[in-house]
This record gives sequence, structure tokens and C-alpha cells, in this order.
Amino acid sequence: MHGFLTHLRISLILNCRNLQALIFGYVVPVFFLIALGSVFGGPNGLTAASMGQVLAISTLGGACFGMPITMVGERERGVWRRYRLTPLGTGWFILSTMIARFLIVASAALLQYALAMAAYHLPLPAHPLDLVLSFTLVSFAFIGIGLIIATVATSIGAVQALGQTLFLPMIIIGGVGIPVWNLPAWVQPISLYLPGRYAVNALANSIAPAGAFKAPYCLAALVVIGAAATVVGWKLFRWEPGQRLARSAPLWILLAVGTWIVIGVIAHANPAFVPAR
Amino acid sequence: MARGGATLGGMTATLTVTDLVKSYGAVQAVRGLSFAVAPGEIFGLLGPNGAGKTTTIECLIGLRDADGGSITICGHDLRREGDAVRERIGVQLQATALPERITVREALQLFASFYAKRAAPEALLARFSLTDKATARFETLSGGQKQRLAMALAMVNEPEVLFLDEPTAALDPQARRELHEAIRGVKAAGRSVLLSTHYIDEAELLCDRVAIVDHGRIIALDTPANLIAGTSASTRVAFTTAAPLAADAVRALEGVSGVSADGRATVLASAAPNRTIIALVHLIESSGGELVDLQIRKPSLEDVFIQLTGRALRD
Repeated sequence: MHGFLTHLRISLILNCRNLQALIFGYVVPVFFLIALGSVFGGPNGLTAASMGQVLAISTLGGACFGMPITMVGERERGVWRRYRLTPLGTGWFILSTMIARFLIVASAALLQYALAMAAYHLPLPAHPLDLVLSFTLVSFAFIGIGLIIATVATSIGAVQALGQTLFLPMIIIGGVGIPVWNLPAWVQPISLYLPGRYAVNALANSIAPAGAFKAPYCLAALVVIGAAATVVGWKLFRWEPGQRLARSAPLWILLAVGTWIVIGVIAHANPAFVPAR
Repeated sequence: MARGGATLGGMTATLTVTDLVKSYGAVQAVRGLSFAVAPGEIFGLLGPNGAGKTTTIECLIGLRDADGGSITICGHDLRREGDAVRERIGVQLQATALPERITVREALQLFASFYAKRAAPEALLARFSLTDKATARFETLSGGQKQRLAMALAMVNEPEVLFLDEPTAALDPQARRELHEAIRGVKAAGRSVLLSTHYIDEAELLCDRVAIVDHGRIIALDTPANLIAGTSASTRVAFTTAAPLAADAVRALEGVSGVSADGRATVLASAAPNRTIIALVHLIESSGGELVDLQIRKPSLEDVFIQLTGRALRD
């Protein structure tokens, strides 16, 4: 346990020493807040729905770019190879890395929320504990996806390519960047197959009077997406630079993406599970 | 305490390797290696690049799965008790990579935290002359400092067996000497060391026993002195004179078994170097010549390797 905590502490310290990580971790999220606040902030300020989008975007960015870039960079330089020689198990290293990323994105979210309250009249969350729960589950789902990216990508360029492949659809047609009710009617069902839709819904409900449990299906979807992604990331985890992916990798990745499809099909068949507003 | 493994001189070996086999596709990198390392022994794997030394070490430390054979370390079977083995071994790879912005002290604290048994980071800093660099980031260290840190990390759990894979490769002479001292210190503390190297002098200086490895096989295994004594290679006397000497006269010197001359420079193979040198000096004196340079080279592990394989270690 001591090794896990020390690795977690050192990971956080190293993140603070990395100017690029600080810019992408804190400056870019503030930029997202200003951008969405300017576009979607009405005369009464930023709405809960828009703040849900802001938090989802920055968490998605930290999970799908920040964490995999760090992991792939260290693995390809041989850092993880050296860790492998120690008695601390794979699971502890993965858990430590995921929790470190959660704390980083959570601190960025706190900063965003405080700035949104100051600049865009955003009220305190109606259900603070719901928001903590929702944010934790959103982070779990996205960081799990980031873990898969880190295990599959062989270079930082590949992380960016894979990350954008997931990031852009969620931003454009997944209800994360553009509110789902502003999307064309034929696009709206597609968002049900992307994790971002459930993330925004859960976060927005937690800030609004409705509460996160207005749509428990969204919370459950995030748990399933996160669990599947974490298991797949753990199964495919690679210690060595240039190490080949397991032959079973496509099947595992199919399993992770398969959960999105199953969740989407159920939501599609039950519109009340995921209200558009 | 050790529960299994071979015995060496009445002591239970800390490391026993039996019939180790490892292939990469059609290439057999390790072909049935067997050896044992005693407590407090520095055991060398000497061979040219591509001989299978690194693959052997990577199998022994659990980075690669062996295709066959057994490995017992401190009484624990590596395959079945990997965690117990990892608690008891220290490893210095050819190149140790760490996060660029981690400091030396943080790296020691981090790695110490992974083990149940831990050396004090401050003591390791002092022992490996890194106290002045304790707050320096890894990215700012020189090659020698990085290798000393890698050695300190390998010692962070006070290991019973230390694996060193080409630890001095690419180091300057001063850094090599410092690392040699550190390795001797490990032995003095009663720990076993498995050292792979392609430096002959390193193997001769440091190792109690040396296994000469070629094409994945051990072709000779003994103390450096015994290996050298077993070779038929002669001492070489190399000298340079102001003017070339008569080849016949040189060939007729006492003890000379072979002559190779290149202008004023000559190399003699001699079974009796003392008498050959005395005779050589007389020859130069009597011919009115002048001795410019004289060097004596005893047979080395390089000669053993050449005799066994027909080629030099660096071929």
C-alpha cells in the first residue's frame, strides 16, 4: 500500500512540474469555460446544462489526452519497464495513475466551477454530493477510456490521433460541445451511443434542482463504461517500449466499445432513461 | 532463507539456473544455460554483443518468460514465486529510465516504497556519492550519475542478489572506476552479484568466476585465473626500436615462439618473457640500436575467448 501512495504522490508532484501539463490541465479548461460561457451563457448567466458541458469537456480532455500522453511517454522511454521489476503489482500502478489523473481533473473542475460562479453567476450546485458522485463516475468512465488509449497507442502522436477520434465526435454530435437539443433530430439518437451524453446529463442534473438521480440510467451507464474500459485497459496493459499488443486486443477493445452500443440501444428503446433536457 | 537451489562449496547457491532456453521466433538466443552463484560471489557473464547475456539476465529478473529450464533465486522458483523473488533482487539495466522531472531523492523514496525491506534513501545517497545531487532532476544528471543512481535504486531493498547488465557501458573511465568500487562494496556486504559485460578487464578485475558465453551457450566457466592458465596463449612482448632489428636474430631470442613485425614495431610471443626481454635488451645493445618502447601483455580472457571461438570478443 505504501508504494501505491508514494507513486500517487510523486505522480501529482511531477504533473505540477510539467508546464505543458499545467497549461493543458488548467489553462485550457478555463478557456473552455470562457468559450462555452460566451456562447451559451444567457442573460442570467451560465446554466447547469452548460456547466455540465464545461466539466465534461475538460474531464474528457484530461482523461483522453493528458493521462495517456504521460503514460505512453514514460512507457516508450522505458520508465514502466523499470517499475515492472519491483514487487508492486500492475493493478496498483494503474490505480495510482488513474487516481492521480482524477485528482488533477477534479482540481481543474473546482477551478472552473469557482470561476463560473464569479464570472457567469453560476449558483452553487443544488446537490453537492450528487455532483461529487456524478463527477467521480464521469471521471471513472473517461479515465478508463484514456487507459485503453494509453495501452493501444505506441507514440504520443498516436495518443493524439486516437484521442481526437473519440473527443471530436463527443464534442460535435455527442452532446458535450453542442447541447443535444440543438442538434438535428436525426443526430440526437447517435449521441446515446457516446459516453459524453451520459456525462453531461449526470453533471447537469447534479448542478440543477433535479439531482443526479433524476436519470439514474446515466449514472449506471457511466459505471458500466468505466468498469469495462478499466478492465480492458488492465488486460491490455503494456510495460515495455515497443511491446506488441496481445492478439486478443481487438476482442477486448470490442468489448469496451460494445458496452457503449448496448447502453445506447437500451437508452434508444427507453427515451425516458436519458431526457434530452 | 534459501530453501532450494544448488550447493557451491558447501553453501546453498543464491541463484541457480538450469537448462535455460529462450528463443525469439526462429532465433535461439539462449541454448540451455546452467550455472549457480554462491552467496557473496561476483559472477560474470562475459561475451560479445548478441551472445545472449542480456536475454539471460532479462529471463532471470522476470522481464521475459523463459521457454524452458528453471530459475531459483534465494530458494524461490521465479516462475511460481515471482513476487518473493522481486523482493529479494536488485537490478541495474543497461539503461535505466526514470521520469525526467523526478529528483534523485524522490526516485530513491519512490523505489524504496515498493519493497518491504528498505535501505534509508539518505544512506544510499551518501554511499553512491549522490548527496550533492539529491534535489537534482533526473534529466539533468550526467551518464555516470544516472548509472550511480540506477545502482542505488538496485540496492534500495538491500537485495540478496544484484543483477547488473553491462553497467559500465558508455561510461567514461572515471565513472567506470567509481562503479567498480560500488560493485566491490556490494560483494563486501556479502551479497551475490551477476554481472554481464563485454569488457575483459572488468570481468578479470571484478569477478570471482566468469562464464564465457557465445551464441547462447556457456563455452567456459571458471575463475579468471584458471581460465587464463588453461589457455595455451603466450605472453606478448611488444617493443619499438629506433631502427628495425634483423628478423632472424629476433626470432632466435630465448623463449620466442612467434614474431610479428611492422617496420620498427615488433610483437613477440614468448613462453619465458623474463628471459626473452633480457635477451632482447642484449641484442639491441650489441647491435647499437635504441629501445624506444617496451610493453608486456599477459594472456587475458580475450585470449581464452579467441582460443575457444577462433575470433575476438568484439568481432
